[in-house]
Amino acid sequence: MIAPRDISLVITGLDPAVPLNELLNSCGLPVSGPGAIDIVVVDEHPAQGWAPAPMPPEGVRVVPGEGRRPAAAFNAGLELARGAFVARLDAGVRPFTSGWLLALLEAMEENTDVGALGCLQIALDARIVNAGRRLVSGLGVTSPRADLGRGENDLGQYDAPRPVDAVSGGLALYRRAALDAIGQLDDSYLTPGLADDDLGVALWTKGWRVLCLGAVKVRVTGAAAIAAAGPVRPDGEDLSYWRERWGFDAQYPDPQQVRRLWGSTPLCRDLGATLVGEAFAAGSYARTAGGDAEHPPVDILIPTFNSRAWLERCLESLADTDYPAVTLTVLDNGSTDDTAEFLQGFGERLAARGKSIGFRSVRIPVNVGYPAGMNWLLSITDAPLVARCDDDIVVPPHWLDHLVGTLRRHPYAGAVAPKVLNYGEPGTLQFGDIRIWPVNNYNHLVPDEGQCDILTRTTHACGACVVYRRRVFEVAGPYDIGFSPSQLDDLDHFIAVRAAGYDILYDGRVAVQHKINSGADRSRKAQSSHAANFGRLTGKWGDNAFEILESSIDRGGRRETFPAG
Amino acid sequence: MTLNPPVGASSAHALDFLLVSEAPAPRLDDCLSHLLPALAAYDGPVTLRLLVPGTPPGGLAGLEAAGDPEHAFRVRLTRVPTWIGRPAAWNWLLTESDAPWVACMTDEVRVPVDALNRLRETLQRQPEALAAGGPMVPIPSGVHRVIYPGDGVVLYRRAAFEVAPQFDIRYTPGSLERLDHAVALGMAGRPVLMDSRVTCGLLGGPRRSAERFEAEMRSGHMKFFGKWGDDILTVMERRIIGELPEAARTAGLVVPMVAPAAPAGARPALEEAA
Repeated sequence: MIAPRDISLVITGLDPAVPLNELLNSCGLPVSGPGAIDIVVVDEHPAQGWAPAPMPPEGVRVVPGEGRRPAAAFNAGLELARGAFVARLDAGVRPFTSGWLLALLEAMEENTDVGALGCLQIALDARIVNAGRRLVSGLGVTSPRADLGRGENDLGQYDAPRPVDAVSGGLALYRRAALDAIGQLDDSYLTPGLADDDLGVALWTKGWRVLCLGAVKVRVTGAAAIAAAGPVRPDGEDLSYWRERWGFDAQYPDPQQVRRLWGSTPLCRDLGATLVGEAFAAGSYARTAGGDAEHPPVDILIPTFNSRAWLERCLESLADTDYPAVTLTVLDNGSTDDTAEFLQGFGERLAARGKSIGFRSVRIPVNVGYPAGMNWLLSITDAPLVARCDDDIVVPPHWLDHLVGTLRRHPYAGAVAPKVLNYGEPGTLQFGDIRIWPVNNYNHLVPDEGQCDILTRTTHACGACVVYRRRVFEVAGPYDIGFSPSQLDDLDHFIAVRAAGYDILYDGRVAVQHKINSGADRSRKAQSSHAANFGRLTGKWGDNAFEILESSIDRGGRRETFPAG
Repeated sequence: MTLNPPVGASSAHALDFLLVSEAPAPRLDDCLSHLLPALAAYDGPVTLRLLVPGTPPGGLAGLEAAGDPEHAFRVRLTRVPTWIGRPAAWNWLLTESDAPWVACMTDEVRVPVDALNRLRETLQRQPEALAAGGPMVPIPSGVHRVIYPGDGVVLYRRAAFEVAPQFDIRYTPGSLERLDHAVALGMAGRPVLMDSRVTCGLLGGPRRSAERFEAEMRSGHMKFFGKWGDDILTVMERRIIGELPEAARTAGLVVPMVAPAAPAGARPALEEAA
């Protein structure tokens, strides 16, 4: 049990209009008696006269902090604080969990390697501001997604302590030994909140963990606290300083670069081997389904809906795949044509022709849409690699061997997609190397003269044919069924994959043909559905996600020169 | 899966109750605790058709309680490996359904015990109407002509799914699919009703986050107005007003009720709407 004498509380950000006693009472803090803790108040408004009248309670010490930045104000209080555990309270937030300090102390006591412990910040409209911050990802510190849980309702989903990259300084508990190990908060930053992010990174790199205990909740009320808790919009100087200090770009982070710099530290806990997956890394896949170290088993997954006219040619070409361990699984998504009858006999016809490829089909009574169909197929298959294939593609025999080889040579690539040519017009590109920022460039209908026969990192690829590590779906999650029946479900998932820290590769050295069917509908109904899905995409990831993801690739290396990880 | 034996032969009152649950958590038990008495009170054979992703941990206990002869009705449980969204889930259950009356509901709704008899009687008094819903909050007394039968329990005649066979999966995971379906019924000239006597409630428990819900609604609105046209709600409202007598227009679009033809052995007619 931590004794009260070992606890200090540093209060900053006081509002002259709010008496100190009122603040202390509203926070339920013991300021006198045996349970009293050491309280240091940093007075940033001495000229406005809240102190010494009314006089601060006995045992509360006041240190001047006029004109200082929030981090510097806290550092000033920290110098006076005596406890081995230092709580930090910005007067612009109000804890409303009774026994909040005790809860934080208990969590700190149970986790002896934790250097900082934050809490759940809730806005005045009762939505979550953040449940900790995720900085070391493909989206960086400026994305709204850096704030974990932002905009959600608090349903207790963040109550348990969980590792985060950083916590907001509105209310946090620090271990003195951890702060001593890194010096103090870096007060060089002008941007509200960025010093807290910096502190989190510093702690992780020194081996201290940072947790958010969502069971302790605070309401963010003050203007300064709201600004500090909002999405970080650093100025140029701050960004330069961060890059100089940590070696990677805070705004456009390249996970490959972060791994090279900090791969040996816990800062990369979510960007390291966990992305690759033990099974794939150790080669244990070789024990199943006839795979070997160079040819891990692959599940080719094909949702289909009323595409009988194209399905036969598609499956025939996939069945000719020159790869030793492949299973073809088709989900008949409630087709009303003769797809079911065709699929029933297809497996037998393959066997009769001596094809070694595994085949099965599953029929469901209704169309559940492409993303839900893919999720269904993922749930009933288990190979370490997964190929997502549309029912209207035609592939060359070596496509899978080539793409799996590319994936094996790039351990942090989560997915690889080939060049896509127009079916029936193989001399024209349908999708080459795709850019989604600053302008959309799909190389659509451009003559294929070898200009896209390259290997690049990308953010978006044509979803008609993609090979993934299965691990991707554990780390980045399944497809979002909100993009039903189809359109942009592939891009949405690619962004999730990039945000998780994977690379996505475009390998134009192998080409497949694709007949655009579902995407060719230009009716008002289809176009509004596409526009709605695009709105959903930008609403989900933030308006600047495309810029962040594409810029980080440009800065880190887009083409074959990029590092293999 | 049948947890209790079939009850008699189908009749003109036979009901398929389609219940979908995204997360078979304790809320499903809560929902069933209200729903099972309502099904038991229904004046006709009932099949509860429930679709859930994965295995419902607590829900089966509630369903097994339905084995009580007093609560006897058929239960068909459809398990899917992943969540497919509300429109597809209802479409799935519709493919298995053949009763002349069909009710649709999610596990977020607390249904009153007399809901199904009242809604059926309301529809029987309006032979042209294809759907009647219970509001989620109290509304002025009466049976109202509406564009949308609400988020509570909705009872349909089978013919509703001949006019508009399916819920549109563009609204996956679930936002405006019932509004979209109701508009299809309305545009076919078939009234949709809301009955003030069947006020439902919203159950607690996990649901979509505010941000996610708003994104879904925004996306759903774009799809809805893109499909039907920007002025669809005005068109529908004018159509309803034009079809109602003057007295009904000034009384909150309350529908004048006609007496149903009472089948032999039927319960006494419910009180006339004010």
